Amino acid sequence: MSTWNPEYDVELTDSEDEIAMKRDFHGREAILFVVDANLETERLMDALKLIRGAFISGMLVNGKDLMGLVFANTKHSPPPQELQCLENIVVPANCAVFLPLRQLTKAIVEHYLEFMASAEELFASEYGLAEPDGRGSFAYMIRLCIELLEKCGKKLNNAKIVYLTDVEEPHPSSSREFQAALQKASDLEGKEFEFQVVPMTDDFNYDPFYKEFITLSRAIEIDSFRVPDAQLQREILEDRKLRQDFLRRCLGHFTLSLGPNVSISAQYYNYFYRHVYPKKVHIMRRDNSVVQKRRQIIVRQEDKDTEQITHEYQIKMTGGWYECKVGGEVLRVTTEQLNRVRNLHPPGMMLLGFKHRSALPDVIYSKPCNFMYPDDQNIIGSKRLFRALWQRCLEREKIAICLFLCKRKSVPRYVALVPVEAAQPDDKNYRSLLSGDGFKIVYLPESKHIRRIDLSDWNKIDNTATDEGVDFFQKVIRKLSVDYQPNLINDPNLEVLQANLLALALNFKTEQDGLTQLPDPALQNKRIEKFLPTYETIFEPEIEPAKKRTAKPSSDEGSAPKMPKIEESQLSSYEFVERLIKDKLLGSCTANQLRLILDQHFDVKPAKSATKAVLIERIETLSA
Amino acid sequence: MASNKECLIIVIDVRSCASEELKLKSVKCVAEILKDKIVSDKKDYVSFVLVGCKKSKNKLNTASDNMCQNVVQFNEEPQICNWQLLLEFFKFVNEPPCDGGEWLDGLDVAVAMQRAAQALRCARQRILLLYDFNYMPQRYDDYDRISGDLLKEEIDLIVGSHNISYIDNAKSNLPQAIFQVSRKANIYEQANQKYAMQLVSNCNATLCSFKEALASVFNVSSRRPWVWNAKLNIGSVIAINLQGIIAMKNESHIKLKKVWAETEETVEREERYFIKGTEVTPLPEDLIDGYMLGGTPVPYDETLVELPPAHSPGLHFVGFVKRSSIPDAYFSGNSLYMLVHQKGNVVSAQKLDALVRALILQKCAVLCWKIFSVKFNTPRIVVLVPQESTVDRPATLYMLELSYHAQHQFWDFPALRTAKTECNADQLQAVDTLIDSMDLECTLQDTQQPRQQRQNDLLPFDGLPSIFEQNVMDVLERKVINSAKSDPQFKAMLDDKNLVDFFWRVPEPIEQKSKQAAKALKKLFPLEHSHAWLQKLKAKEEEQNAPPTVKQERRDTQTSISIDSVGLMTPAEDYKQLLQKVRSEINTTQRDVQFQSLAAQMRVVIITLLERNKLDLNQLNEVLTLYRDSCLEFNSFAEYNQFAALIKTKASERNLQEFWSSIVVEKNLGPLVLGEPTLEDELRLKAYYTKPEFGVEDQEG
Repeated sequence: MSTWNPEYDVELTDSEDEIAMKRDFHGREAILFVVDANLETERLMDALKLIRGAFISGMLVNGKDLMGLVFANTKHSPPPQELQCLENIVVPANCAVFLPLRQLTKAIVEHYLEFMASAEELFASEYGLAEPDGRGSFAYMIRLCIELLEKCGKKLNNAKIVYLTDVEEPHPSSSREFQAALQKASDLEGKEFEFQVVPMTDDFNYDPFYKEFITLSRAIEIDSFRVPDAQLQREILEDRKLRQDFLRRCLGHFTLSLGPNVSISAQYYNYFYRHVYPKKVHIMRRDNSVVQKRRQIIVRQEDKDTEQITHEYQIKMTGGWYECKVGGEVLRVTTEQLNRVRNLHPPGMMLLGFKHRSALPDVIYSKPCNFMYPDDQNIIGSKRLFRALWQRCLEREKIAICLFLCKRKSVPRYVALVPVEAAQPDDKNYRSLLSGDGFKIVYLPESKHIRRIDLSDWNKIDNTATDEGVDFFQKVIRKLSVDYQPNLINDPNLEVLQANLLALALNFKTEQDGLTQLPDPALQNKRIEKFLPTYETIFEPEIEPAKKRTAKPSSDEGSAPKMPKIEESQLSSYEFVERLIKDKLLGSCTANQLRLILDQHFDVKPAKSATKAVLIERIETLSA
Repeated sequence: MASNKECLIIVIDVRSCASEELKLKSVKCVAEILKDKIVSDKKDYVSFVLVGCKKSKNKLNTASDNMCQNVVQFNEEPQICNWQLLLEFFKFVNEPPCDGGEWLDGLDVAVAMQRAAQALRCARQRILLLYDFNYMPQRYDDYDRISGDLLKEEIDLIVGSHNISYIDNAKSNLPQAIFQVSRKANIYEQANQKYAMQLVSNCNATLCSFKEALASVFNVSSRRPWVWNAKLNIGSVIAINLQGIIAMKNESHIKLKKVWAETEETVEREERYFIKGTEVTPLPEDLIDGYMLGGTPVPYDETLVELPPAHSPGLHFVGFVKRSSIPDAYFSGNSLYMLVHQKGNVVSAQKLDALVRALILQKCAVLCWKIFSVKFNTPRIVVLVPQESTVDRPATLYMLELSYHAQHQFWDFPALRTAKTECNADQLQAVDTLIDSMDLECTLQDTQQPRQQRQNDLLPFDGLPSIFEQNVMDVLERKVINSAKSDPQFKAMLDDKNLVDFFWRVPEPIEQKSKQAAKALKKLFPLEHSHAWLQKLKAKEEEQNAPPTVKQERRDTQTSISIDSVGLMTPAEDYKQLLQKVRSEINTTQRDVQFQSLAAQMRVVIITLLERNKLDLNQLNEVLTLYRDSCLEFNSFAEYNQFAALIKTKASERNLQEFWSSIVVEKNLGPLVLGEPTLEDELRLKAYYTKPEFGVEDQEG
């Protein structure tokens, strides 16, 4: 943005992607954790640790989310720290609210950490286990959760109840409570609150209760329930991730037209969201209040004679207009008119034809893929036709080519629908979480997006390597092979930032080993040690072709810092500085040296943002 | 920076005998080329030559009168494209035509123009010839000379005509353009077509149909692309010098000049600071950078923490991974890089070739950290996918960015194969028919037949149009032609359906078949539109938008409010009910008016109750508290305080000592204070609560 020049701005932004990737769908996300008091000490502490992880990563990744914590099946109901928050909420027996839904702050997390430190000893006495059998009413617990979510005071977009337990059956299946609990499932469905159970044991059986409860709460058929892997579920929860209910968080609904008057409804999803750093803010030094910085475009009209500003107004980024010159005449196209060009066709997807799977090149990329899943709500019967299409494409190795306009004012794109299948139940890999049954939407690059590069200048006959060379690299590959584990790959810079923030705010030490770091070449050398001598015999030493432009420093090093023209040591003498000022030679000092002069001789610490010109002016006025 | 400009001379057939279809298509084709160059702000030079005009006006003809007759060249020199040029071209092409005019003469003039244009130092010189090679006799004396010139001077020639189709060459299996054979063709037509075909072998010309001609014009390859120099290190010993070239990038080519204000106005971008919506003007030294950690701001700059040193630029090797283990769905970013060896570095070329071949044999890819430069220092995890060398390019690696774990979403999609979605054999058959009848790839037997499009594919992946850009260009073109300035005119232009529907249709050859298949499908799969979800959504929205308290109370109003004034029997209940009704009024002014009238009623009731002989202290307490609270709620401080004074007078007048001490004083029902009481307030309150002078007689006793 630093190169922005209002005089000549030719960029026409394709803002559609920004819209599509925006996570805010008017409302906040909320997670309400419910911990079953039936968990034995060790598992209870594991559950609390999971929640701590979720709290911390939640604060770091998406600070606006609301989180809450409730204990279920307790004997006592000690009030939360913030007493008045339960004013219009009835806390049933055997439940205790620890934290109502709140945006997390430093104080809340500190309070939670304090609680955790003493939980091992005090949980049994302060909260206890419901008598006689540790079974409080499940239905009441759900009612409390619904109430907490509904009365949280914020508009919610995606609310989840996460139940950490190791009890497979909260009530005997013949009991009245069991039926009451199941009824609550349909309440959840109606209110669009998501319910997830995170088992604290690995071999958790969903059959006695949860399979039915969960499928009811999502209004899906019981035979489409896929048993999640408990361990994986816990691991991802710690990252404040959950398998998201497909109904809630799609990027959009659309109809897929298969021909005249034959349409099915579907929805699409993203596999990942934008890479987000914690929100950067400006803070007032004196009272730590948050200062928002807004960039504004201001237009001013000046009276030429008096140089007085006669009119001043602000315009939005979407303001202004585009110009085309036709001879001497200028035609204006408003942004709104251009937007209308985007809006020429209603959103939707249209089937254009099919190709064989092999027609899609191995590497073809212009924008991240999406996932498509049927939606039986808009057009009833979509799911069956979708399944038939998906199944036949899968079996016959076909892909569907479509034209897709995902939403109003977006850009129509050609897409390939590639059928994909959910992982087998025994697949415990992270990749198994990737998707379910459905179509992967591969965006096809437009002809103009593909650069035609003539590589004839690179293409020489002696480029071909010898077979020994190939063998050598095969050996290296075998030695240095790793398994791709997406969960272990994180942005190193972000991790350092997060660790520093936690250290500053919560005095939280993150171990260095826990951070992602660039790999150590020495270790790699060691593993391929025995092949390295052959490397030097097979390949000649590198002779880099002569650089055409010697003026520029080598591009590998990036641009080197400017060499100072004046020695630093001289600057400590004020006489020397005085002479510089007198001879107007301050310009030959670097900005850092000017700062040094100001600091040493005038006792002034200029602002970081001060430019060289400002610094020189400051010195000159101070010395005058 | 190498110049990527080109100089393009377009030779157009305007003879009266040429097919009308060809002439229309030629003009359209030229307009498309110009529009594209204008809108993407290219600095290419373009000019035109007309063949078949009544007059002769060109450089060669000026030099010698009998040379190149019936050929007219547009201006002296080629020029940069702009909208004015397009308008001039539309006029120029209407030169009075005749039957004469030879295509070789047109080419000759175009070559002469290209020679003159060499001073413009363009990277590429091209001629586009759009001609009807029909029954008119033509001279071919200069054929060898002109085709030789083209070859010698490295001028690319593209020849487009309307009756071209394609077959696959029997030997090379590559598509080849041929003229559609017509039985009526005379010997001149055959000769003309023969010579046109020979251009392909004589001077590497491209012979193509109109659609392909446009594609060929736009298909410009770059010999000197921008490169990113990087070194791939595996360990510290193995190092390969590479250059990254952008292979695909999702970007908009439309470059329009954005204007923010009238010319006499100045535009500035300013930064303003706000604290909770109030503008502040802090000094730079007052501010410190920081980050939000949940709801807590945390100061963060280099004075507080030690920032890690910058990473060195290049590709830092992580490990070899199986290609199949990298899910495409995790590819991120908006571009695809291709890595080749450093130009001229044979050793790196050999290493890269060996690495790529080994990777392919092992079905592996490379996982790396990419550090772009010292300035753009954020590491990105990338995967390098091998690509074996071909005839026209060396071994390369595709470089794709991967998303991080922290970004990943995990969805829970119910299985699709359920009893409810099970299909019978007929249904599956219908789906199969749809798939077969909409096959975009021509089957083997089709390839023997001449076809309209070059590739064996109705929608080749490398030739997909940019629909939005095309629409913008078309709209701008019309706007320029009609010089449509007003908004309604613009709207009328957009309403023209042809603009978009052109793209939103099944390719013509399979359109009919696909319609039938879809019809059959519809019969077997019942589909029914449902608006239940929409209604549910609307209901929910309404519920969320309306203030919750209002809704609740409105229900009360409807059900139980049957009174219209506060009575003496149950004043507290009445007042409560009526108050609810007042609260439910959405218009604030109305609400205040209603409250005032209700409050007046209540005051009368309270005074009446106070005047009774036997006071009901409980009731008085209740009504006074209620009234006081309601005044607090509706901000009616002055009224209450006035009333409180009245009560005190009343109490003193009627000597209501018990009422005064046990209700007013004890329950603190005195005047209302706004916010924290000041000293003055406290004095005032103290004065109020001081016992009034009661009469001697105790009436209550």
